[in-house]
Amino acid sequence: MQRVLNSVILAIASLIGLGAFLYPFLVPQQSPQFSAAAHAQDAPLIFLLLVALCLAAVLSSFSAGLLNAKLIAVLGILTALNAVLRGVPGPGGFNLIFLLPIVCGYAYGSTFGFLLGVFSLAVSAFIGFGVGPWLPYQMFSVGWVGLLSGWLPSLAGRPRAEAWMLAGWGFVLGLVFGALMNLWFWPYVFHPGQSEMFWQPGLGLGESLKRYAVFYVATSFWWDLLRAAGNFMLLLVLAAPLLRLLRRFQQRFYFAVLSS
Amino acid sequence: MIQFERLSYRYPGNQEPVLRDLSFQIEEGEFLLVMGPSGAGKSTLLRSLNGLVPHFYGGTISGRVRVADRDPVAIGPKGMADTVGLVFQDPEAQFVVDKVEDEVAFAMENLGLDPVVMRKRVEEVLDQLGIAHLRHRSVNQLSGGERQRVAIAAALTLQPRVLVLDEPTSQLDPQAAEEVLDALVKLNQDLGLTIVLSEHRLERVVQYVDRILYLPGNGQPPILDEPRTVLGQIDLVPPLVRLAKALDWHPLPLTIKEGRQFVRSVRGCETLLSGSPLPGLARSGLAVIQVHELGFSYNGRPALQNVCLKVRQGEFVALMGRNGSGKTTLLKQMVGLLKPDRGLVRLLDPDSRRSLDTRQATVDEIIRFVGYVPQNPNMLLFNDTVRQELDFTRRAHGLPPGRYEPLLRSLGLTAYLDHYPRDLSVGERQRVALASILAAEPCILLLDEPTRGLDYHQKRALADFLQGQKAGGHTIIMATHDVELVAECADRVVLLADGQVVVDGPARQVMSESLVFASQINKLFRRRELLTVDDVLRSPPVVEGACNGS
Amino acid sequence: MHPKAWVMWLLAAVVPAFTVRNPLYLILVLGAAWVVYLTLGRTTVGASWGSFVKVGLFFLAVSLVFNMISTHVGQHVLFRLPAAWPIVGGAITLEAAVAGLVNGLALLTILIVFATFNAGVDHYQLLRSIPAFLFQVGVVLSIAVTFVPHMVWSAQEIRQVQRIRGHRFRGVRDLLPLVLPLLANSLERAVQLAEAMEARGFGSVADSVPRRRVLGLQIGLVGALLAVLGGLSILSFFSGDGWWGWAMVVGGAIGALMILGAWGRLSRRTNYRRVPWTWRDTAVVATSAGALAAVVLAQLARVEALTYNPFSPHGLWPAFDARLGMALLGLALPALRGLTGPQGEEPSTGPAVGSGFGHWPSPPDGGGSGTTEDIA
Repeated sequence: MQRVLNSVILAIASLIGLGAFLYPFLVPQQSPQFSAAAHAQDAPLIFLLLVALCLAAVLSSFSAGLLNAKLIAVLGILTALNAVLRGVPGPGGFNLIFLLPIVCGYAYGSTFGFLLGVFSLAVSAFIGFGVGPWLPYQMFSVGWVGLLSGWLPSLAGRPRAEAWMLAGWGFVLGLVFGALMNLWFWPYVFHPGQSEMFWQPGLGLGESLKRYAVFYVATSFWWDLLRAAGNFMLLLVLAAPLLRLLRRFQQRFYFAVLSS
Repeated sequence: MIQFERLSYRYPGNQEPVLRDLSFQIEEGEFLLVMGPSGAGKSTLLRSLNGLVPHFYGGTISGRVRVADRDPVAIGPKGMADTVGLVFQDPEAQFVVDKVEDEVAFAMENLGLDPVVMRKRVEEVLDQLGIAHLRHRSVNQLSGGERQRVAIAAALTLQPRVLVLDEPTSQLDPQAAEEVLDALVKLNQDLGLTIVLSEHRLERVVQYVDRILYLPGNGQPPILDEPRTVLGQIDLVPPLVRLAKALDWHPLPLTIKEGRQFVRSVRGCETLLSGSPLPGLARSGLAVIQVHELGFSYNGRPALQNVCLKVRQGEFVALMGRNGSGKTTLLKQMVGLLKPDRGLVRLLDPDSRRSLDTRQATVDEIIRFVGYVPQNPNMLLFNDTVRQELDFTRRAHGLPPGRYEPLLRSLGLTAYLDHYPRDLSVGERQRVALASILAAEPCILLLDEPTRGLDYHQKRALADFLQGQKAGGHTIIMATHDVELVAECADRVVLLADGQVVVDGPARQVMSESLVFASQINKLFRRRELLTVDDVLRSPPVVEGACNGS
Repeated sequence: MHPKAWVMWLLAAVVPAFTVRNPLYLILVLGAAWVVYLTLGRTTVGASWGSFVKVGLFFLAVSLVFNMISTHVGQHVLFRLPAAWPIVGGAITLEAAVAGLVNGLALLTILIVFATFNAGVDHYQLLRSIPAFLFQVGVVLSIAVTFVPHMVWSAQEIRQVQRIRGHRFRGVRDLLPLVLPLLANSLERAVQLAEAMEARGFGSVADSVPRRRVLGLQIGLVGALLAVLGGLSILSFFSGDGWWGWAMVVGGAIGALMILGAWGRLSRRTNYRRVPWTWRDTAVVATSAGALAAVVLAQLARVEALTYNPFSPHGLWPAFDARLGMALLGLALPALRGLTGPQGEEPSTGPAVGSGFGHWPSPPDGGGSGTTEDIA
């Protein structure tokens, strides 16, 4: 029951989080009593606060009873590892932040992946990357990376297929992550003007998407492509041995007490 | 205080129980030493005192354990936290919070104690362990001995009736180990705390403990008795006791002081003991490593200053000195990992007679004939089997996979060729790390602290192996704190202090002139001819039987 | 300053930075944050200040350029690009440049506010004062932060050791001998740490929370979050019913906060020695709350000065309401000496710890504590 409720809370929070990312596509033409300009500007702040609240709700719900000493220790230490990996400049300027959430989410399940992703970003903020306005968004999105990786079909026993699947997955995630993270500041680079790259409330989904596509390709697409390719390479090479190692340790973390 | 009745325990997935039909009793206020060969179940026994076995590990348990009239099997480790305090081997893997004071309070927060009580108890334990001055420090800034004392303080805040320590000093250098053991003795004597300790360095603790519990392993029954009685029955003993048993001294001396009385009481022994002439340093042979006026600093902090050293082919050199005296830095200079700030390090490949200056040479050129074994084997091992581990080194050197049987046999690893290295014990891992470096057949071997966590048997085996390597023409340089190991195998000792060479000379001379770096046997006789038990047993008066005890 | 006072300050500074587009107010907030930063004298995460400012300036530049070249409206034409060029072709106007600058300035202000917060707050104390309902999260983060320095050291050591084993780090594949031992060491360490935590009673209080209470709270959370989600959907998909949507969002959020608060009170875990709260913290919280209230009231009253439109016919100079300006000036209060200065008298930040997590592993070896040979 508790697990079901956890999942429900996570699902609702994720929808709200998704809304926070996608609101530029969704905001309708405002009614006259809400001055469009004023409240469109408030949206980023409101969503930032809501996303932070959702994270708090999800985390406190997960930690009630579900997190035992083993899980907490493993999460803490792997989080430290991931925060350190984030600081390691990988080949081609991308970093290794996705590697562990993807692989651990796939091996240890979506809850573990989600928590690892969320905590990794929080810790790297604490140890020197700094708390920024994007932090809750990043926490959620890397959390989703781990969560979704846990939903991939299990190909245990077929290491090659596994590696290719995870590599392809990493590629897709690299692009999606880039597109999502740019959304939060897209509305910022606008003025209710007449530009074709800029966001305006009430454009409608199709027009918003078109404008965002132009904006995205013009700004960070190429950078993100590089990151996606980096993820692909990294997972193709590292996924199989990392999974072997994680599975070796799995039984040390989960077991049944059989005292007589 | 502690009762075991027919306790048996089997780890999940294992056929054989690690503890079998164990029955004994420990009184309140007792200081108990648990010892035995690796794998005999010492750690398991200690963990059964607070319920980690079986609650944390699973497995099957039968029989009865009572600690202060509570049943850890039923209550579990969380509930036993205020009855049994547990301190672990690795001082780094126990910390949850960054700051010493908050770390010490962590257990009390878990049990929801009143903040006023917490303040009082934190002050008390900080004083008891003598670490009040560290309270605001980060645990990452502490030395190993300080870390272990913080861990003990953290275990004591719940005011447990029993303090259990699982090899708390095996990862520490001698000075730090001394700090920790002194603290324990004080806790036992002043507060009457019951202490259960497992420990390899018997020579440091045997004089303080009330009884010894010896677990022989392999399903044989344990021995629980006074230290002298137990040590008389087993062969896993410190050098002094080994000598005393060989010479039939009664009652067994536990300290150097007690031993000296036997030396004195046996008339004529002292004067008769004049061994073979001292071997000097090798004056000939290729100088394979030449360190000339070497200076090096980390971010402006000097680590090595004006170091000069010449090592000849076939020498066995021990680098000794306090922590932070520059031993590891010097080894890393010799393998080209660090480059000199001043001066130079010159290496000579004994086969091709090519000379390399580490400032210009690449690491690849150097490692063709120099091998470096780090102090922590976990930094090295990552492959799925021991064989792959060795293959990896050879491939990295551009060599084809080799035949490893002779090497593994001499290290006692033959059975593990296809095992996952990280499933092995500490001592075995250490040897796998050694093997994986030796697989590339270097003729100069640099070892950094190779005996951490090894018991007497394992140390002897390592000493024998290194002697064999030396006999095969290898040059060995070993950074170590282990006085007995140096006494067994080194020809020459280089003593570093504060980044400078303080003493450089033949092992026998350096060790017998030093107070800190003298072996037990040497402390006993204070003669440079006698460093090891074998030295004494081979000396003419003993051979002639003049020195046997009353 | 108490971490909670800092959080309040952050909130009060960030709300106007997000919601106000009048460059005069933005400059006021930015200036206040900058002055506070300058008087801090010490930084816990000094490295992030520079990078935040850089990111902010980057956004400013991006915003300026993109607005200039793609918005072709306004009376003050600077120059013209050929109309045949897609998107960028047309008149380049001063108004567009100003619009770009103001947008960029808003982002820069947000970043400077966060950067000041990062530099000012003691991250360690911030972590220690995590709300009770998140205490397990706090433990995870605390473990992670405690292990990071060792992890960095360990990664360097493994790299060196594998290098002298003959391994060359060239491509992605060569990362394996670094990543695998690092992960294996981490997992082994995690098992040991979990043991040590259980042996010290971790989880014994949390376990005693009745399951039914937790279930009740979770169901409450589901309801509250559903209200928020419903409100947002109304706001996004149906125009006209704005009031309902807002009411549901705000009500749901407040409900969720209350449930989380109740959750925190369930925990019987106690805290050793929190950071003391002083009159200075009260003063900062009061002025911050004042500034926050002023901004929110002005928003509700739709004060004209909050918005700014460079394209409007009234000219480029923005309006300014002095009362709001005074309230925002209060954000500079932490800059007054003695409020945030080196907290010598507070034992929580003695000289040795001054920099919460600043002690990264100094390169191995060296004096006194002897890092190299200690860390096994």
